[in-house]
Amino acid sequence: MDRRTGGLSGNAGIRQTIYLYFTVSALAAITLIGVSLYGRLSGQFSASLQEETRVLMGQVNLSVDTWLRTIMKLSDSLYYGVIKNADVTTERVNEEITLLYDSNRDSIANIALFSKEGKLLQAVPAARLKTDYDVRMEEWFEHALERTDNLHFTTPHVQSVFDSGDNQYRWVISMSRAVEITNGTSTEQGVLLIDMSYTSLRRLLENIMLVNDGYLYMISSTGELIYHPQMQLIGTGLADEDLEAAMQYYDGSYHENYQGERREISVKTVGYTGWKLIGVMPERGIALNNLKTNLFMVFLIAFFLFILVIINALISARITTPIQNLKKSVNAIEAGALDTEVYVGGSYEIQHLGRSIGNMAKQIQKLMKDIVEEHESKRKSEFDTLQSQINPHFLYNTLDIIVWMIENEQKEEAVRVVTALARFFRISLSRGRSIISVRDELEHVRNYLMIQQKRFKNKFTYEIEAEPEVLDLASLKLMLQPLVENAIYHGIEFMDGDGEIRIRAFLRNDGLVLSVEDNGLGMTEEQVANLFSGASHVSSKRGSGIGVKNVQERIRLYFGREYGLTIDSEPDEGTRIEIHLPATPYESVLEKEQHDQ
Amino acid sequence: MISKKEKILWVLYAAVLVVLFLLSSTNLIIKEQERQVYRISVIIDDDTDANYTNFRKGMEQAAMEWNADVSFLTLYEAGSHEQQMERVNREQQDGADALVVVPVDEERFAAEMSGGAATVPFVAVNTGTGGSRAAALLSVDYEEMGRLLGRQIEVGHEKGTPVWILSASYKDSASRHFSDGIVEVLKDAGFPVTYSVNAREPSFLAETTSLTAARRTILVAADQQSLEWAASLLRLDRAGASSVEELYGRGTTLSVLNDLDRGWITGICVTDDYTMGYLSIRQAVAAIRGDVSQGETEFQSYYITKQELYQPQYEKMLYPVE
Repeated sequence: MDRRTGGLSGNAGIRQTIYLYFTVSALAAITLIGVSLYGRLSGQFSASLQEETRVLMGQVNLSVDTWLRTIMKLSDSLYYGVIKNADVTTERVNEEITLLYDSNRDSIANIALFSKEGKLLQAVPAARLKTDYDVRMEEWFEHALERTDNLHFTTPHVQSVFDSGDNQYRWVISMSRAVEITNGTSTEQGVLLIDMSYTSLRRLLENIMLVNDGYLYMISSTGELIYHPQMQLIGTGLADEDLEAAMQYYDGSYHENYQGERREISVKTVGYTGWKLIGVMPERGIALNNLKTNLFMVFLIAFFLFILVIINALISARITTPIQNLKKSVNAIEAGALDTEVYVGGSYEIQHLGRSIGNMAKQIQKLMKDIVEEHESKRKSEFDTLQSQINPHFLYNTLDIIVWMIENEQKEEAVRVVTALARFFRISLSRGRSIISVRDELEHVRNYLMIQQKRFKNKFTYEIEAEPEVLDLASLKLMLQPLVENAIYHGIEFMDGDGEIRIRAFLRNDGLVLSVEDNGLGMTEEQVANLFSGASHVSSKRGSGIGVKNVQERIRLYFGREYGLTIDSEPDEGTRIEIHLPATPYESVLEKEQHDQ
Repeated sequence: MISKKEKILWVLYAAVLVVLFLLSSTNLIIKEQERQVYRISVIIDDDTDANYTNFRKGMEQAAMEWNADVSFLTLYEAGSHEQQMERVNREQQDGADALVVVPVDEERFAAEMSGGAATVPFVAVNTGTGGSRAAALLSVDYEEMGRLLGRQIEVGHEKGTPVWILSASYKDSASRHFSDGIVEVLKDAGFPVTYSVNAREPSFLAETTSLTAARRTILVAADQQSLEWAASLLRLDRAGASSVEELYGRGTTLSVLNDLDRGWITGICVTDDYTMGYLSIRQAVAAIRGDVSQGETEFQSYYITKQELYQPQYEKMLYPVE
């Protein structure tokens, strides 16, 4: 996983990612739904078919049962209604047997009554026994006399008792039972034989088709075939059936493998006879399982996936196209075209993002412009300051004073002025630094005041007070001198009486404060405003050329807009200018400068 | 905008969908097994189907199972090879998909069919030589059948008992081979054998009695017709019947089986005609479907007496369940 991008997509675009994830999800969902539905439907289909088969088997069983019961009832009717307690040799008995035969001739091939010696007593339809035929050798005869309470059923066979005289043969199932025959005053045992038409049984079973080539067959309790759709082929060896396994089954459903084919077997026992009805359903026919069905499932899944992918493409395009357009705008901004019109469109979030980026670009543009302006202003201020660092007029005037002093044998005074001048220019230059210590700034202005006092022939006095803790704080160079210069040239030069200039440096709770106070002419508000606008300052011909505005600008440039100077002035009263700076140790400023270098 | 690669993928996917649809929902690629009806003509060697009852039953079963439309054709003149070949040609021209033929003259039939007369697949029945073009042969070794009967006669009778072999036609190769087999065994065993062809005259028995007054004669019918005729003669001519020791023969018609059951015929040689009829159609269908070299299937012969008639292994063979 790519930690930077937070997903599996790596460098893939958002469109490909949405496409891929959505397609995989859709495919998984469709496949899951499809397989579940298919399995469910297939299962239900199988269950439904099995239930249908079960019901069909039940119906067939009922039909066979009904058929057998009809014959058994006929047998009872014959015995109890006709034969018992009657003289079986009379015509009336024959007529009654014939009546019963006629009403069941679809199901009955022959009805015959034998004595226990095997003599034919009655036969309907009329027929004679085959020559040299001894019925006592037949199983149905033996079983009937052995177990006299039961009805006995044979498996299907060709009727071979009677000589029919025509060129026909019939397959029959013989039912036999022991009967009491009245012979005069005595009774003796005999056997009633009913040959059931195999065709009538076959008709019940032969048109029953189970699921997809499934079929029904019937076996006796000993595993012999009673009926099979391929009975003749099995008999001649051309076909085969799993009779051994069928013999073992009880009623119910089973699965078996026979000759390489899986089959489902349903078993139902026919009442009384013990015959088993066996339904065989190849399992290939039960499920929805053939090649074309499977291919159709695949086609359906692929088709729905196709549709979903198209929808996915449209959806992802709707989502990603605005993002792409926004990305183009961001790229343009990144390349530097800040005034590019940022795309605003798409969903609410993208629109909001677009607007935000647009605003951000405008903000950046403005900040850059501010920075440029600030740098320009700084540069200009620096330039002005630089210019003022070596003010030739002040120098000339001061040197004039020095020359005059020397010429007038005021050597000590001259030395003091020269020294002050040297100190003044040394601090003015301060190796090009803009930030100096408060101590140096005060020294600077002291030297200036000393020189100017001489120049102005002690027209004013000055006082500089500084709290010890402020001396090592950072201050802006050439900050006090222009203010003092203004005080001298605007406030004191033309006043009556002696002027006083008082400079203080102290700490306040909001930082460092340096104040310049004079008792000069004072200024009106307009004049104060002019000072800040730069419209009124001592020109470079007379003074430093740096005005209050410059000082204000430099303070704000270096220390921030929350710092600066305030002017409190009353005409004819005087003026107090207060400089507010942060209380930053000068050492820390030096360290920062060294670090930046 | 989608790339060229994506376009190609879309087109391929659509093509796969189309192919899947064609595979799953049409018959263009995977063809459903159509239940084709196969037209098969069966041409026998006789002018009546009386001797082919069980054979036809087997044919009908196979026709139902294999979806065959079977036309069963007799000759106008029994035993006419020319007529049979004319029928063969006509059926082929009429659009039969395959033929099943019981040749009148097996050698000539094989030669002509190999020589180009066969334009559709055919199955030859009751012969071991169908020529090189036969898709399948269903044969009975009649000579071996004759030997089987000869051995039964040898075991059941005293040496020297005269034997008369009756045959409807000398041209019938099955009867000829059957007779040859009987003669081979009985002559070696010391039984005098006389061969009569087309003996239909009522005085036949009188002739036989006059010639063999000293001993009763064993009659052997080399074909079904002769057997039925001889049995009916015994039923009708009680006096003449007394000069006949036993009647044997071959055949599976109901009349023959009934006469066997009644005792007029002592023993018969039989084959599984039902299976033969079934296999003739099944192999004809297989030949239509492309399997044209299925080889020869030889059918076993059985000797049946009255006692075996209703035994389970013979019962279904002789009395097919319809």
